[in-house]
Amino acid sequence: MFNVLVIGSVLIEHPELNIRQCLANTLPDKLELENYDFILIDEDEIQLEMLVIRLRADLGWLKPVVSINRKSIYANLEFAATAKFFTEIRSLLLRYEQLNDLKLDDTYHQALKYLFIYPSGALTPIPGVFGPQLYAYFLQLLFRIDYSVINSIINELIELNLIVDKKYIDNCFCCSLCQSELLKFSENCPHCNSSNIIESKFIHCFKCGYVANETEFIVPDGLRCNNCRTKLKLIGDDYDHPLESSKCLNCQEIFIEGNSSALCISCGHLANDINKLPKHIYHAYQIKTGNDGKFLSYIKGETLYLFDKLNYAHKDYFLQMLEWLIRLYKRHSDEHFNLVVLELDLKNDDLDLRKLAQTFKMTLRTTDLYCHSGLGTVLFLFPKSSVIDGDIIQEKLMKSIMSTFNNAEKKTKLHAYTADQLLNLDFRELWFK
Amino acid sequence: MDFHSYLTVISAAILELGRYQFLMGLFVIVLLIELPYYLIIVLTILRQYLLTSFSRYPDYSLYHPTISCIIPCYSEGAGVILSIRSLVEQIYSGNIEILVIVDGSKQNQHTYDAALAIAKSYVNIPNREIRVIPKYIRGGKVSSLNLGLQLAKGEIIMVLDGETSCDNTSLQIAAQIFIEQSIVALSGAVRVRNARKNLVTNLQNLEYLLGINLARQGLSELNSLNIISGAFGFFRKTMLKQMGGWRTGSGEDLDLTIRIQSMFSRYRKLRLLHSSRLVSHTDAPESWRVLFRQRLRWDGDMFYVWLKRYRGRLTSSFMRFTTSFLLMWGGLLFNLVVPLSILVYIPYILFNFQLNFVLTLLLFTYLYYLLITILNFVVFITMVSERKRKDCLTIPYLFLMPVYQFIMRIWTAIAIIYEITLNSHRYSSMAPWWVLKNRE
Repeated sequence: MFNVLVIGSVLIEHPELNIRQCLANTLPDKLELENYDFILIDEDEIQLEMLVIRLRADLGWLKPVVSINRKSIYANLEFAATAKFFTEIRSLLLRYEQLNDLKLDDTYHQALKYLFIYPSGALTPIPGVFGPQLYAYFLQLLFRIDYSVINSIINELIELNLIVDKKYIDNCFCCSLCQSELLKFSENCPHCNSSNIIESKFIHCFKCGYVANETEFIVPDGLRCNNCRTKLKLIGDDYDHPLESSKCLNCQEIFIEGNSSALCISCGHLANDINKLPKHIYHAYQIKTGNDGKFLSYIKGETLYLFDKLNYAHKDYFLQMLEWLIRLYKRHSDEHFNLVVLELDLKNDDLDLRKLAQTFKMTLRTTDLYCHSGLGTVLFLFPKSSVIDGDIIQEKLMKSIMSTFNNAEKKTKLHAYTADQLLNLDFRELWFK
Repeated sequence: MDFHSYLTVISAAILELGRYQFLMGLFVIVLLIELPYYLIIVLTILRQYLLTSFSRYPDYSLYHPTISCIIPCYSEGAGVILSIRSLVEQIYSGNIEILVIVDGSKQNQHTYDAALAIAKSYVNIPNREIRVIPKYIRGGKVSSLNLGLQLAKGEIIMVLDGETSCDNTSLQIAAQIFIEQSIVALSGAVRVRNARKNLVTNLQNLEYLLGINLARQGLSELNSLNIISGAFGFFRKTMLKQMGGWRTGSGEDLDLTIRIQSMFSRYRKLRLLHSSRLVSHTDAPESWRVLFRQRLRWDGDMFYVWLKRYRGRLTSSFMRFTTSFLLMWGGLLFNLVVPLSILVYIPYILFNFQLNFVLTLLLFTYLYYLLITILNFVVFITMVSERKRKDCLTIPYLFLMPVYQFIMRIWTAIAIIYEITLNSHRYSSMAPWWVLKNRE
């Protein structure tokens, strides 16, 4: 017997189903939703899409969503009162149960869990215009994840040999500044750079070498050269079509191939050499066959590392290092170091940390250490840095964080501590503070 | 030898000639019988020239039927590109359907690939449709043509050889001519593309211009066109279907022309036309060996069609009287009797007369033919040629034409004997042996 929540007006009766009905705008809360085995939605495609995203991203619902009388990428199954349908539901719920003991419910882990439960199609790029992207991975749409983040997750899963490339989909040029795929390509005259050009058929008279548009040669009884008045009868003998195929209406230049340029619609950046534009390559991925157990362990984070997969140091390791640096400074006063505490208002905790990790990778030295407390606080340890270095580091870090999030909503605070200040401070207290 | 003694020798030879009066008389008749024939052709061309000069040229720009062009290919390779390209480049604004039929496409993969590649490059040209059809098992040129006829969508069918290209105005002119419903087929001029290559091609070029194009122009005016070339010709599809398409084996173009002409005795308004404004270009053999081999096939097939397949049927009861008469005169006499006579008479006079006499006779014969050639050339340049300046470059070769014609006639005689004795048409390379065998 399945507990089913039906969203919509459809009436369903089945001995296997214990049904409760509601409307799209009267969805139960997160806790109550947990009581249901699957949700059946009877809405049009747009409503279905909105509801599913709300269920997945906002309410953290990971059990199956079933549609009625329509196939949709947003629904995991299409309803049918058959044994096969119930078997499929059971198998999905079984996969869900495997993750039941995992309490991590931030967006990143929710996305990974979804990928584990519904491996087919979750990492398939879907064409369309999604902000600055022309393709979006289904998982990205469901959990509202940025391209850079989903890309780093995919790369990481590939590196760990957890997912494999199933099929090449496409590649899209993107802006070298803002990574937007919304580019306006145009062909310009190589002489005056105007885009006022036309494709045309040209004729090359063999007798006098005159090259002009075909229309200039046409006379009622055939083709005649305007320059030498020769009648052009046989292609290859009297005339030919030259390689030139475009004409600039601005400067009248005839040319073989114009210069291509790309204007970014998102940021207005003009790239004159399209060959130097970066590309986003889209593939469809799937969990490697027989790797379910390994994938599950990865989600649960069962392996112990000094650094996590984002290069954040483990909390205990970080504290040990801090303790050791303090001891070193006490013994050798030239071994000065700085500690910086960053406080951020993180909404998508893990995803933002992922973004930050990328920023740190580019900004910091490889010998610097950072660690997050999980409460929107990141701690940095800069060994071998003077008091002056501390100020510079603080400024540089602030700048890069601001450019990463690119909005004022994140209330960012930076506190810097020198080695001397730390001597008189219980750092464990600092940590919990 | 002084002039007096030379005259004595000649007079003695002429006296001796009396003994062989009958045979020598025939030789003279054979020579002289050509003159009226040429005169008829020249006069009809003159008549047509005057008529067109004083009449306004009709403009049927609104008539644009779909023209299906069948290109039967075999081992032309990249040469097929020339034909396809020249058809795509036509200034004709109506639809042109280009059917490239690759016979034996497995063994001629290079031809098939070349055709596919060029078809791909012309995929988005408005009003031009290129279809490349592979025939995996070779069936010969006729089977390709008949397949093309089956697939063709146009009301006018054009036949163009694999390595033959045509002027960009050809299809527009043909469409204008076909507006006359009485015209069922149309022949065009074939020019030698590689004319300037060497002596052999230059002489063939003159032969094509004077011996083929000029003669066809004259015969066309008398509605007695002897052949519509298989390399370049236009047909009304309804007529071709009525005829049942082409008949198997080589010489299919001559065979089809005779069958169309056979309709003329009952349907007197029907016409076959030749237009010198329709121009195609083909590569002629560049060596004597290839040329002789080609002519052995042509002449053998011609003899087979005229005297074996249509034996006793080329009469006025089978076709129009004028056509039958001119066919007997121009076709059989020129192409059969004259070559065989030459083959008999040359050894005869060599063995029976003094060398000086023989040389003088040959000199007179040469001058006679040179005169006819120059007359034809003048008529051609002034009234027929559409590339006058280019054709004038062939003038030096006019002086060699009588010798060339002499050699070719001897070769025609050999081809006829070869056909009579060994049935050479059975060994044609135009179709596989089992197809030719079935024809029998």
